Amino acid sequence: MQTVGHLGWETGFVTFLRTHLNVVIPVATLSAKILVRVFSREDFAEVMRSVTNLPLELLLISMSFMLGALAGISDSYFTRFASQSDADLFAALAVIVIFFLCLITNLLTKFLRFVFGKLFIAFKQYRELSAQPTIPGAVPDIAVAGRILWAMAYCIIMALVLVLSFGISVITLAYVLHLIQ
Amino acid sequence: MLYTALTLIGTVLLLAFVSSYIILRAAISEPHWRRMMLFFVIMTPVVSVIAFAKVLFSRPKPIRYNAELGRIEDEIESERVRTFGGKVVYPSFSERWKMSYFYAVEKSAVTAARLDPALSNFSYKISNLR
Repeated sequence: MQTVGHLGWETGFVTFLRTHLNVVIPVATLSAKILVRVFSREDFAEVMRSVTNLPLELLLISMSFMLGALAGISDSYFTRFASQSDADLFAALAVIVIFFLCLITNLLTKFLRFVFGKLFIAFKQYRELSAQPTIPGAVPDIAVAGRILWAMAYCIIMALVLVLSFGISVITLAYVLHLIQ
Repeated sequence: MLYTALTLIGTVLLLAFVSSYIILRAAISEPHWRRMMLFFVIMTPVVSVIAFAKVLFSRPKPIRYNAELGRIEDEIESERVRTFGGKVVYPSFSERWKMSYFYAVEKSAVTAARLDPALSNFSYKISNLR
């Protein structure tokens, strides 16, 4: 029998991973997605498309955990219910609820891409207008400042949508992990 | 329970900020504008919580509609459709802003007309502006 020498810190690290799966899964998925795209030398528009899909993917991970619970992978899940049929019914209902959350998150992702398009164009137009020569002494036009104002509004909307979609997916994942762990 | 809630909030904010940075990097090529927009993104959750709390205790004042800004948004939207494809989204953000502003003004005019009947003609004129 072989023994492996302990470094000391790895026990604490593994305990952290086990007890904080609700943090580790989303962060590790995001990091892996970014690293894979960066090492594949894809441009940032592609990385962006991949990252905006992350909330939906986290919900799909939650759904697969629930399906795993339904299949009997987790023993602790069944101990929460009075009977096997109660546990099965709850798991089936949870899968249906997660499916509807997927639909909502998909709509939010589509809206996020729409806002990204607007933000991209606002800055494109800003660059084009800034490059044009100005007449000295002329009254400053709102066209340039207006683009920046709209870009700011799009950024605020984007942040709210991201917090909402990640909120839905991370909280759902945490709840599912709480049920099966 | 509180610890779990805090870690969840921290995770959501972290994921949202990293995603925002990637989106901003794809959309904005100027680093100084990107930094400024990232600042707005970081401030948004805090400001929105404060704004929500404020709305609960006081009535928010409507921001005056600017037709020039509305026209700029229409230009942005039409170029977005030309570049990325799809349909022109209606009502746009500016159209929603215009409707909510006129609704707030109309509501104030109706309240004023109720208090002073001499202002009812003024209230009718505002309703026709929409």
